[in-house]
Amino acid sequence: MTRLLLVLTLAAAGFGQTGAFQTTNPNYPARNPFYFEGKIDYEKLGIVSPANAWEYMQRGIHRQDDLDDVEGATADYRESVGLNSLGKGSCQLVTAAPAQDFGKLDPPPCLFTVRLRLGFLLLQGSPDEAVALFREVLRIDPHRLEVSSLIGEAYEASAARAQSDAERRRFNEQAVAAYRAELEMSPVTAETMALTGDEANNAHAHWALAGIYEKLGDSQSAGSEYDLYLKATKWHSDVYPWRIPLARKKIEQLRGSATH
Amino acid sequence: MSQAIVRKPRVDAVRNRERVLEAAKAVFSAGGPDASLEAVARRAGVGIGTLYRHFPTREALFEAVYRREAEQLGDLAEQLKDEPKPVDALRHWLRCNVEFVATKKGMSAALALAAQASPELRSYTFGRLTKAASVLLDRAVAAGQSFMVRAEAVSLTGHRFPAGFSQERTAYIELTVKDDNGVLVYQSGYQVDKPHPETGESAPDGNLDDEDLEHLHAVVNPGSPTSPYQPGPAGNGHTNQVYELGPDSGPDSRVFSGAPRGLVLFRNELTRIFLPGEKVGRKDAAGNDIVLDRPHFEEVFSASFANAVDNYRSLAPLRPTLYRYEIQLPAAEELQALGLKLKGPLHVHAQINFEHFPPLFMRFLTRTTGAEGPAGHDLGLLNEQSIDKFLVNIRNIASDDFTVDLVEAQ
Repeated sequence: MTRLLLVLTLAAAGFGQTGAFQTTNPNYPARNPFYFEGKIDYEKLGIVSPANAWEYMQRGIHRQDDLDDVEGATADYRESVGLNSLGKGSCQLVTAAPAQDFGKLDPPPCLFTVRLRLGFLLLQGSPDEAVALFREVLRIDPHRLEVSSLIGEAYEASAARAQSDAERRRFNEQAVAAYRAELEMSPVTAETMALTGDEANNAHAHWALAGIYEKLGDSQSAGSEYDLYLKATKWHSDVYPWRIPLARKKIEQLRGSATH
Repeated sequence: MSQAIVRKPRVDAVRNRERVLEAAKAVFSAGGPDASLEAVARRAGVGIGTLYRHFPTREALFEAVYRREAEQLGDLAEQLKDEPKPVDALRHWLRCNVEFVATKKGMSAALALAAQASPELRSYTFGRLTKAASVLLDRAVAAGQSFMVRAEAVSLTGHRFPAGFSQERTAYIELTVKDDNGVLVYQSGYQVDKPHPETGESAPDGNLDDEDLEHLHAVVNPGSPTSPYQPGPAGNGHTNQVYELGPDSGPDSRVFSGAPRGLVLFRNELTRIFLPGEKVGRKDAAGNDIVLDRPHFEEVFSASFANAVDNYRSLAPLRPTLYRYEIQLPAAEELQALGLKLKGPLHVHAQINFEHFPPLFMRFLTRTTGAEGPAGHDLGLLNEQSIDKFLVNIRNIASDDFTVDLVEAQ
């Protein structure tokens, strides 16, 4: 506990100066098509008070990761998305490499990291908002892995709090569609099988799909998904390794219930 | 009426005492134990005489601030213990604990004296806080619930760790959670023995050092022979086949989604920013090349394929960095289906391992210099056996263990 606190105390120290310093600060990156996504050591940025969407995002990341301040991070991410808004036209989707450099694009490119991070923080408490943010991420970078799975998780959260069976079913079906979209991002093809020997990809998505199909009462699809999960973990195990024997048990149970 | 007149000074006195304590916390936190008591009185908006009436000595003031903070923290834990989301409650409590330690830090020298003189203060705060901590942690580890593990890593070097570029020299955290009977509940930063027929390993060979971490399923294809060889991805058509996130999600989940899950690795990551119109180097489900109509950004495994490096995934020198793992315990019905009963306490083990080259990168070199590579014939430089000889990881550079109590689900 004490070590943790020391970390946070140190991380909060060392703010630099803003202003002209930023123009020569090598840690303050030029914009690329993504307006520089990802995380930079905050103390190297010298941001005293954020002045634009990207700076709010970086401070939010600092608050979330280094200070464990989820509320502060959420506020910064909201500010950032507000300043980098597709709806308000304060950011743009880059659909072609511009003749001028990316730093001169006006409005600047839309950011995906801040939307992903805000969406993740809102996933359980406000899944509708989370889904909207994740969908914007897919407009910015349609080939980004994991985003559709996060949409699936958000719909599962909505299903868990649904007031009626019909509503729950609708959310679960939307979750299925989202996980299916994730699987399409990394399809099993003849080429992938030749290179890896893997008969199935993406254990996460198959595990989630199996559970949702069980909730939907679709035993056959659930069984198929557990089977694909086992194929996907054949050479890869799982962070939760107990899921592997559990999937085998589930298949037995589902087959048993189908024959009765 | 007379009662009101009598009570009023008491209310003021309590308020003044609170003001002084609040001011002292701020002043000592910023200025340390030698900060002047006049500054405390000024900040509290009271005279110095009022301050001395409440706290005759500097040590008495220190002790009162410390005791008050511990008391508030303990009260907060009591309030939070019934929160429906224990992880959020724990997070909130830890956040408040940060402020408490900031108080302690600024006054540490004086507190050492005060605590030495007052064993009661020591045992009081320790008892209050350990009780508070266990209240929150206990609630977080019943079956079916999730709990947060926090691992802190610090590089005691004068440079970022690991140094150097790209996929070579990777350090990572291997983290496991087992119950008291040794049942593996969670693993991150793990390797699995598997065959690699494309480079001459037709069956698992008992060696984990030649296995990739399970965070990303990817292959780099050497492309087709060209003459003469042209560097870069377009030269011989070599491709970066990132198929999917593996079961251990990977650092991308942490960096871009801020999710407390996935592998923690330390290295300077090769990345590529693909521009609209470019091929991403793999095919869709219909077997067509994926051609981008938006920019795309991803990790790549070949230096000639990269056009950017993410330097911020290695550890900064001398700066502790915190990584969180949100770990879900199996639900009661899942345990029942497995015929398992978890036995507490849970044993959490974290260690840092180091690998010189990711096996995936070595296998790319094997293919590049093999019969299918740009030369068009096997140069005989690398094969699975030479990879085995070359790849010897350094395990357990640093480690830590702790246990977490397991309670019955309510």
